[in-house]
Amino acid sequence: MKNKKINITINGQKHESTVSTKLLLLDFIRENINMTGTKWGCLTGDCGACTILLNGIPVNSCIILAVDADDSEILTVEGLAKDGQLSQIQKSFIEKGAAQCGYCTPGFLISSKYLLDKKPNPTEDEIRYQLAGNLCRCTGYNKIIDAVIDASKKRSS
Amino acid sequence: MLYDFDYVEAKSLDQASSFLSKHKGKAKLYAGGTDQVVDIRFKNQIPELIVNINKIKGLNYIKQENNFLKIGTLTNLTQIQQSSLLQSTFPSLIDATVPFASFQIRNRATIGGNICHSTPSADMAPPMLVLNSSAKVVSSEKERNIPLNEFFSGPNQNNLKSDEIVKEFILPIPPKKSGNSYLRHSSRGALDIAVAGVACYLELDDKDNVKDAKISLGAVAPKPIRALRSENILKGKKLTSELILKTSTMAVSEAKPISDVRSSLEYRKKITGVLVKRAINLALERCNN
Amino acid sequence: MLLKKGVLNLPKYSAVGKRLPRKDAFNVVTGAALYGVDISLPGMLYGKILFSKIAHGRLKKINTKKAENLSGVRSVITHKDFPDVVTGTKNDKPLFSRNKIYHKGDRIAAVAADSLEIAEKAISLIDVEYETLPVLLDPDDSIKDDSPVIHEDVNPPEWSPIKKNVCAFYTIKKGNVDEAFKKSDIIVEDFFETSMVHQGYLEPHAAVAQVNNLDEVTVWSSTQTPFGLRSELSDSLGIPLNKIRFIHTYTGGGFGGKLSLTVEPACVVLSQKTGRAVKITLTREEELISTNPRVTVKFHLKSGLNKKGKIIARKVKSFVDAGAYAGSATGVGRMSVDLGVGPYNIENVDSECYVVYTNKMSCGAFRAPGSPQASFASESHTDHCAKKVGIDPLDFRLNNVWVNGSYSHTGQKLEGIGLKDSLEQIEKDSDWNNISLAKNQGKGVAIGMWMTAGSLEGGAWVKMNEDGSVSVVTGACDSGSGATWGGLPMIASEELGVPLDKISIYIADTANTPFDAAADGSRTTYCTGNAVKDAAIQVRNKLFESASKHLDCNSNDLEIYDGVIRIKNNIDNNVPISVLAAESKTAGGQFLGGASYVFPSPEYDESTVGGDMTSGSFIAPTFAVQVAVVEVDEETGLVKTIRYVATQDVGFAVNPIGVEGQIEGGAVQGLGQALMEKVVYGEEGETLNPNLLDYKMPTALDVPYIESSYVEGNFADGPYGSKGVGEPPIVPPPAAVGNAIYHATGIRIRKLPLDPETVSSAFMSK
Repeated sequence: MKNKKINITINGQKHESTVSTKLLLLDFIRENINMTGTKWGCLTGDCGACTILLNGIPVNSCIILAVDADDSEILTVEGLAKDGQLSQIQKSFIEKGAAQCGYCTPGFLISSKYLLDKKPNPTEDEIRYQLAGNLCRCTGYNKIIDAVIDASKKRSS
Repeated sequence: MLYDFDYVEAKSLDQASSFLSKHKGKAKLYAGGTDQVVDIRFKNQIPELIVNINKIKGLNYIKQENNFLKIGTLTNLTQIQQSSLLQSTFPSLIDATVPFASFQIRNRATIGGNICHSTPSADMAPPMLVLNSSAKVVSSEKERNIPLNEFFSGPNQNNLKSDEIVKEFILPIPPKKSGNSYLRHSSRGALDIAVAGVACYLELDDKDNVKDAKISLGAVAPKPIRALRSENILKGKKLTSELILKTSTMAVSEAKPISDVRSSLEYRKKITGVLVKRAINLALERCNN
Repeated sequence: MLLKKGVLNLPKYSAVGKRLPRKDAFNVVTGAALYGVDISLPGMLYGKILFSKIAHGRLKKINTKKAENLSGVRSVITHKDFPDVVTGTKNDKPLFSRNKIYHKGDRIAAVAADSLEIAEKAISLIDVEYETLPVLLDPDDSIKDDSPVIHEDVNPPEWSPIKKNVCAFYTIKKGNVDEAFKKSDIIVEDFFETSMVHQGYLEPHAAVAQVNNLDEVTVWSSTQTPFGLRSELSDSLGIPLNKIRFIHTYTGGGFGGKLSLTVEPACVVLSQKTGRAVKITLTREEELISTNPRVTVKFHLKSGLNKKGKIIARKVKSFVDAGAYAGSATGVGRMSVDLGVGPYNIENVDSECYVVYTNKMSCGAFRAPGSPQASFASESHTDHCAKKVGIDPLDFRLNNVWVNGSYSHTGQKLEGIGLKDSLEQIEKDSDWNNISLAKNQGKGVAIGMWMTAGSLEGGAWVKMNEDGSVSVVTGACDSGSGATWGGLPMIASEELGVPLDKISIYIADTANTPFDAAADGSRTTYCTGNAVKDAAIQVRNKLFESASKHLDCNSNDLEIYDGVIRIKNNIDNNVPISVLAAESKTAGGQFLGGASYVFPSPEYDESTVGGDMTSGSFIAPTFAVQVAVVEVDEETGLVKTIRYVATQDVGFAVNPIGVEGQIEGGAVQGLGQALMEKVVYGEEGETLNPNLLDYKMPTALDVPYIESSYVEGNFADGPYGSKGVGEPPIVPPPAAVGNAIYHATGIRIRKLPLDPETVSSAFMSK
């Protein structure tokens, strides 16, 4: 088939759409649904700027076919804040200065949220390993790690 | 958007196999897609048809059945990394996942995809070769087992017929006094491809002599290979550092690498020797645990 | 870990110098910020550029018929659709190729179509005939007599001893090096070579152009210089300045790589042809084939030392591999000839630099252009000198570096020099003398020098709203440093006593913000910061004037504090700013301030410079000093950075979080250049690693937590004594790591990057 009707839930909102089977999940989110928070830097799975949660798991949306995400739930950066309240990881990123140009930030927020949900008190080594698939060219990773640790402390309190 | 291909979702392996058969080698299976989608973007082998097998149930498992471990073809590399079953008996498989790309990629990449894509540097291949594993392969016609040592035939080439699909991998549980390891070398700690990868399996007898040894080299030949002459140096002997050195020197001669943008031929050879030494030592350490 | 060497009598500030969040942070963490790649307009078309298939030769024929006839294609353009104009520092660069091809990044044609897929298909349908010429990939080959001339229309500088394919030549000479070498106790000679490295901004180049009925054009672009690009567009397309509106979008990194036109001219012309908005983004592959990276420089160095460890003479000869066009290589040449000598008091200097064409990507600006290359050479060489004399490398530097009152190599009198302070700070931060090292571990120190581009103009308005809140309006833009989003509102808050949450900032739209040169040269806080400060003070003075009528006193008796104007010794006598602002609607008008800043370049001794040198001094020179502790796996050549310590002479940290972010981020970007980054070319002039798998940038697993600090007190003319911060930290890592590898292994590696294979070969050849 060249086109398929798909149902994808993004940040709790259902979207039903008929799409080309060649369409990338990244482009479905950015172009079809017009949610540009999720970014791209390479289109080969080598930078992590396109990281989203697919059924709760961090993946690179630039190398997944949209049709493969039929009947799936997706979380993007736009879904992190709830009822106008930023999530702790977002607040920590702001406070610690973890975003410079900010282009990698959506991907890092998604990867960090997953990490903290699974491991509430990660060590620096664990953070680096888990986030190694997200490249940052501006911060040198220092303040991103500071933000993740800050969020881990504040989430548990 | 990618280049032109048709798309279909298979409800069963049987159905997937008939799709493959109809398109006579011009159809490709889609599982994790981490290699597939990149290949299509760069117009490497654009298939006529993509057959999505992700909806087929019952292909994602790691389980022990009698004396065998069975891994379903759609098991992803994160699941392999987190398996306590594998940690105790097949740590080399876990070794292969640790430096592999990134968490995002490991969540999608499947063991079936890594083996069937058959790149010379496929990290899962060398451990599978030394662990005596075989692939249970199905088509609409029949089922057969292919030992992994007879699976690969060249760069991105294997001995699957065009309508055959790997269903699961079967690994014999190794005996108590054995150990297996996989080490690889690359410049970065993540998001990098191995310049060379070495897997080692050692089995010791009561006197601590080598009862069985298997060494496999990845990324240094047109396909992942066994270093048979190197293995023979070890068999029946007591492991000393001189013996290990001699083995690593032999392994260097068995490697047939190329020069490319990632590494020169000479450096790949050098690294092969270093990794063989280290992989043997790590496998030995695990024998004694 | 933050250690700060403070000057004990720094004034107490209310906003600047405090750890405060940036104004754009909310937009960024919610995904609301719109970058160049995110811009979308109704009816927008998608564009794509056809790049050359050959690296050197001539364009014989272009046939676009098949592309034009493809359904969904709305326009196909070539050089015929552009004015016959050449651009660039040596007038050597056409926008689209007319005749001669200089590298594989040359633009041959462009299309606009209904979808990106159709545009990509159309590109593949354009037939081009080329005539090839031999490809030159190394300056050593370019300068040979029998090599072809790459730029037939550019005359080599008449004062250059080497002419073939040379586009610029620079000299700095003083004293008599030959005599001085004869008198030296020790002579040290070295050769070093760097690699081509890309800025690696995560967001690729992206722009949208829209032409309206009046032939005015609006361009949205991921850029570091809306005013600079407006000017370039005007010059190259012949559109008057006031008919171009250039809007800076959020920009996902630049580092100097977004300072010149790339996709914009094609967007504009395609929009003119179709009457619709046209968007072009570069793929990562196109970035590594056709943009403007940091280029390779080769250095030959020779020093004469006395037994006590004083550098008496230094002779340097360098070759800059400019690539296909002169571009920023002229600037890199000017820096190589100067910074290649090093920030040391040396009486006898003879430095020459050649800038040479090859058929590769041409040199662009990349964070301290020329300095990391020069530092790798001169700091590795200086380390070698220290070893030869038998003095600790840190002490050797302390004995030779510039201090206040020293003269630079071009005779500029240096003031506000925090170099010695920074060396002492790094000694403390790293505990240099007591670093415990296991086998195969070593420590290395290196200095990086840069300056502040204060001669590039910065402008701002400050206006008070009727409720006492404030808008800062400036043409300055931000590619990530936070100098605009963080620092400028803090400066306005400091001068106006208005809390930060009542201050908004609007940036970088050529139509409705005052001119600002660019987010480059580490100059935003320095120039634009001063403009904001001045503009805010103007508003403050108007507030005082208004308040003095209320409080029946002189303006001099007043002070501003936390939203009120009050009498200094009688603070209960006050009037809220909001009251004064509301009143201004009916009397006096809005409180408005505006200022523009340009700094003159300091004086220097013109007799020391020659060749193409047109400038010889530095505004607010500043220094980064860094220490690397490494572990070398001798068998594989893998170098692990187990500790990295960085400090910097900043004058005053207006925005401490921002300053740390620059130091830490710059150090890691520099570690990438030190350990793993290089663009690799094949024989036909093709990029062999045009992707992020094989062009390797550091991941979080490849670098340690950077231990950063900064040194204040050596003031310059930036607001509150600050200096430029963004560029210096990328400079020291290659030399710091190289020196640490030497300390660990006794092996001096002369070529970047210090990747495992390079290190391993160096071991093998010992």
